[in-house]
Amino acid sequence: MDSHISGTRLFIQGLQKKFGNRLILSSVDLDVKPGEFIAIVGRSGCGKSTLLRLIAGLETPTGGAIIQDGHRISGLNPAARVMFQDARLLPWRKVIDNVALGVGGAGDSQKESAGRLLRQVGLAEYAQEWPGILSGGQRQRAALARALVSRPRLLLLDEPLGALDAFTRIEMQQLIEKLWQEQGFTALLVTHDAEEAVALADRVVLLKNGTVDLEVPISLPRPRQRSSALFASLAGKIRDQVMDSIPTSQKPMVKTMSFIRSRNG
Amino acid sequence: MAKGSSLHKTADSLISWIIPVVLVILWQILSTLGWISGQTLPEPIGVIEAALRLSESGELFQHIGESTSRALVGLVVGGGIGLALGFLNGLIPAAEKLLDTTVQMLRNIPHLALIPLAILWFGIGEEAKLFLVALGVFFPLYLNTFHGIRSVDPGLIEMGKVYGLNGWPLFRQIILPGAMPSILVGLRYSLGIMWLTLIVAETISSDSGIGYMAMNAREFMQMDVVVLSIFMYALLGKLADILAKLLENRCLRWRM
Ligand SMILES: Nc1ncnc2c1ncn2[C@@H]1O[C@H](COP(=O)(O)OP(=O)(O)OP(=O)(O)O)[C@@H](O)[C@H]1O
Ligand SMILES: [Mg+2]
Repeated sequence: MDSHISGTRLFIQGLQKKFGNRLILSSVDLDVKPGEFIAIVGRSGCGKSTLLRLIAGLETPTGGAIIQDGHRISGLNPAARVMFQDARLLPWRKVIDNVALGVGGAGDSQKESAGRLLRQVGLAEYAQEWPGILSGGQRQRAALARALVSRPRLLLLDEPLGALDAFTRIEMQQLIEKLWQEQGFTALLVTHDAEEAVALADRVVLLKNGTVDLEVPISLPRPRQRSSALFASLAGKIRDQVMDSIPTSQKPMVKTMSFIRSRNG
Repeated sequence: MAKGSSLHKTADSLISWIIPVVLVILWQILSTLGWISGQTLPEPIGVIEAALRLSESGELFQHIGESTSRALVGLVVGGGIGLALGFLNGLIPAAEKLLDTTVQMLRNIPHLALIPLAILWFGIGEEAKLFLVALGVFFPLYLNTFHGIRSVDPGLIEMGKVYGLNGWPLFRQIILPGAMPSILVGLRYSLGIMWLTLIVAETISSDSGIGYMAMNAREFMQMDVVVLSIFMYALLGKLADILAKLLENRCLRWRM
């Protein structure tokens, strides 16, 4: 397809974020290749959303740097689009005009691209409806269309499927994977769902105590068979790692699994 | 289906008119029988006759016009200031810090309590009535605009920023439509206060308008004209409410 673009390369170095006196991210290091799909997991409140917001330029770091394609990010990141847990569609705009917002307007060419994206996410027949009548899954499809209509080079997804039922979620994961393969953007997905991380990511990153605690490359061939034993065991192990990282339990983590390499040794 | 439901609607609105119509007929019958004396209430036919008489001489329309233009000018001035100040304080925290406490304090003064002061300042001319109407409509519009802006979903604003909206486009595409339901509630409330203020102000001191017509008729014991004036106020109030409702339906189509 001619629609392939090159994703951004992200180089995150010693990233720190404090809110007042509270240190949320102490030192995050992460190297993301162009077009790579990264899943970020970690316990609630560990700073996953904060990390995404920093990359989007919605927050400013208190230390360290995010280098995107050789340039340090300061202010809003123009290459990035964000998908939130709630779709955040404007209720007073028709679905198609919500999508057109992603390309900055309601002109004819914008509407044309918006219509194309709506077809790709399977919402063409809802173009002229108000967002209020859409189901939760359809709203997220519309939000995905809006995020991708401008062909962003970086897509940040903050638990976009967290509120959906299991079937809709799998359907959406396949849609996201398909569009990612077609467009070639770099993707950072925050998720609470270990299966989702294994299904989509090239690499799963565990955030803990304000830093990257663990990186797990997932080299299963795509499309990934959820029923395979390897898939299930990877998901199970990631779940265990997340659960292990309870701040109070300071027991030393034993990392014996061959496919898991710890960043800090 | 659309036809069926519109038929249904007509039937519904007809039903709601049954009691008022029966009451008027009853009133007419009781008046004709002499059970209600003409000193207490004129008969409905008499009121209609008064309406025709005053329409023919043009007097009625002249008074309605005077009252309406007073109401509208007051609404535009007071409502405009309320809207502007609501936007200002809603959007700029520094402005809110400076002004909101003062506005909240002034809100506690019933504006009708200022009538004697207004007459002292402005005499019984137009200015006093405009001042009172403007003051009355100011607060509901200010409060609801301010509240509307503050209650716009911050998630939507953040989304707008991610999509590069800022300044005027952010205001026009996200903040204003988000605040609109609340602003329109403020407008409807203001319209009610607008008529109420005008009735009081015109009744107390005026040389034209519906209130003047009523007070003048009272001096000459023209009960029919007094009751007609009351009906005119009710009618204008209802008309304003219908217009506000139409505006709401137009601006808030997405909520249906
Ligand atoms: N604007 C802010 N001001 C102050 N504290 C904040 C702010 N944003 C986030 N925090 C704090 O930072 C911490 C991390 O928040 P964050 O939203 O990044 O967590 P998370 O990992 O995304 O959690 P969850 O999985 O529940 O979404 C929390 O303790 C939160 O209270
Ligand atoms: Mg979060």
